[in-house]
Amino acid sequence: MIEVPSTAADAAGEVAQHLQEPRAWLVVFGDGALAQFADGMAGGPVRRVLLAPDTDAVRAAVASCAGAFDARSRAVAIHPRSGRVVDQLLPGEPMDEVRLLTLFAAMDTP
Amino acid sequence: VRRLFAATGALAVLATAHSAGAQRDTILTYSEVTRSGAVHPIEGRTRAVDVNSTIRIGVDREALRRVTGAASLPQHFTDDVATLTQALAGAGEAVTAMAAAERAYAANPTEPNRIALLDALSVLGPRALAIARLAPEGSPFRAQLNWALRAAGRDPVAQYTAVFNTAAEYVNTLQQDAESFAAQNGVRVRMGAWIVGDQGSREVHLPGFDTVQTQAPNVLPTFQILLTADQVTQLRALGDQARTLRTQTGATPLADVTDVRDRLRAVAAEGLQCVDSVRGKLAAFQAQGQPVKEATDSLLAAWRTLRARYAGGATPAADLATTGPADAAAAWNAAQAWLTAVDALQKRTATSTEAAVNDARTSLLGCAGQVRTRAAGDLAPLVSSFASQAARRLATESLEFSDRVLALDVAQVPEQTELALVTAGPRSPGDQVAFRMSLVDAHKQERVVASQSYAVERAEPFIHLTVAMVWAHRDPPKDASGQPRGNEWHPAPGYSILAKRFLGGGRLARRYPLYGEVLNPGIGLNLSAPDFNLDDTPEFAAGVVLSVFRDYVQAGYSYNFQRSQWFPFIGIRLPLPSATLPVSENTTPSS
Repeated sequence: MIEVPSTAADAAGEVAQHLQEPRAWLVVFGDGALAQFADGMAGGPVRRVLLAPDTDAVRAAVASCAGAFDARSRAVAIHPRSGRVVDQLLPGEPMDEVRLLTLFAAMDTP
Repeated sequence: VRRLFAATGALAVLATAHSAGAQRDTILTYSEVTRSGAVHPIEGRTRAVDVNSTIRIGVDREALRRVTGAASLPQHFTDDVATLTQALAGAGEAVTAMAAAERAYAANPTEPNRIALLDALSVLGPRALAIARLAPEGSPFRAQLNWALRAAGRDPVAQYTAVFNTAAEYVNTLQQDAESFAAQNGVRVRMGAWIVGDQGSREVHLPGFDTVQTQAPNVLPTFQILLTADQVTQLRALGDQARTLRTQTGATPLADVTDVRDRLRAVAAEGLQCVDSVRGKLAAFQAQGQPVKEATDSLLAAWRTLRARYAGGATPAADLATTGPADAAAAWNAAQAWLTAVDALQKRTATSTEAAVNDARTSLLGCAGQVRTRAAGDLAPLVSSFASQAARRLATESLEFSDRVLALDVAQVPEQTELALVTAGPRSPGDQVAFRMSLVDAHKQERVVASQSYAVERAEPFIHLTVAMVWAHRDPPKDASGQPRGNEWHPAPGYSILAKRFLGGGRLARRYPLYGEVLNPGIGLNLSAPDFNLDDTPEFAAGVVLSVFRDYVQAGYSYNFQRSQWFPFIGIRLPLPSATLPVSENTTPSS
């Protein structure tokens, strides 16, 4: 299920609040098409896709909750147990079902 | 899920190890692991292994590749198969468990159920990642996975099932590619192992190379101090024979049967003298004597070789092992040829009235009797024993692979395998264990690239018991007139508890199989039942004994407790002087 913060102004706070939930989150920064594609494979009760505004404040909020990641990342995968970034999608990386599966599989990996 | 299980099983023969070792000159390297866990590297001088050990065989796949040339599957094929094999092992059960955990959490989203679901997912994630790494962008496998994932939809259970099923199909494809490659270009590697004994050869299991079944563990005993039923029977028979021999005045203790060297030396010393002496008389037969003259020259040459090599009894065991069989066979063959020629000459000249011819014929026939005795009594048992060993060695050259030996691509060849002799079925000291690795091309032509055989011996320390006739050397009792009753050699039944392969004997047995097969020394305790005063009541004696030549010859110093008398003795495993040497090892209780 795709989650979309209500307003850009409150996005950082909402993203931070979302990430406190014990779920496997794939945070997609401002790419609606990518978020829709990912949501198409994010089934089951523990996998969620969060479409977050691609702003410095939001990226800082994600970093403060989930740890460091590449500032250029198009998306980051956050582990449901540790709450840390375990994989990220960088610019130029091909996006297909296998790549998305690896993002989810990284969140499923202990 | 069922397909996953089937695919996983089919992969068993493809599982391989990674990385090639450093370059070496030999493809196969061997080491021996004893039952106590000691590792003995098998080097160039090693000729035998212990009968209860495990032989580890290392395969240098790089050396094997060099031998096969370029016609083998690339290394990444092996790596891919290994990774997929590992990822798919147990994947079916993991998907089933994850589906159950997901249903439980969906129905009741409690924290314990969430943790259980994460646990179930955590088994699948790493497997999927490992598989995905084998599907680079643009590869056919990647395209297959993408297609399967699109079809699977959002459900993680369906996604993982799709990934694993696609991977299983990919493995099948790789397998077919390998078969096709081998059929068109490649060579296959086959390696087998055999136990070769008197009864022929038997294929034994090498993990990773064949489907030969192992057999129930069978450890040859290393600590035998109780008489077997057969040995009890032998002991009783020896007692009867000793009693009989005591009644024969002048009975001698097998004076000419001492050891192998002495047999050969005796043949040379006594036989040679007789043959040499009659050679000068052959001129009396003129032309008729020519065949005998030629046979005599051959016989003299063969027996002079014996004299040169074995005179003095100082021939090392290694030389005995090397030259003994050929020398004994040559001497035996020369003796038989000579006797045949003498018989023919004797028939041709039987009616001669010439004194010189008759004199020569008489000398010749007398010598022929000696030669025949030497040949039958001394040479024949040796030739028989040596020939048995030679037959076992020769048999290793004609071993053939059965259809239970797998034909593997070079990349599929395990880097290590082992032969556990204790699960290799029946075997006896003196058998051979043989290994052979061959390349088979697309036209079924076979080329041997490595072969080796080792004698299977008792190379580790062991204790066993053997029955022997003891000939005690003592002053005979005197009768009423003061005359000795019998001679100074007194026969008595006895047996020896012998320790063998101690004090470096194991190393010698590994390097020189005939050390164990022929010399086979031991030291221990001898117990006997002499009757020094000839009152037909056995006495008890115990002493130290040394044993050589598979216990056929023993000697020691013992103490008669009833008579309070020390005495030296020699022990003969043969119950009678005319008995021949059996070719089976005496250390194994027959049953």
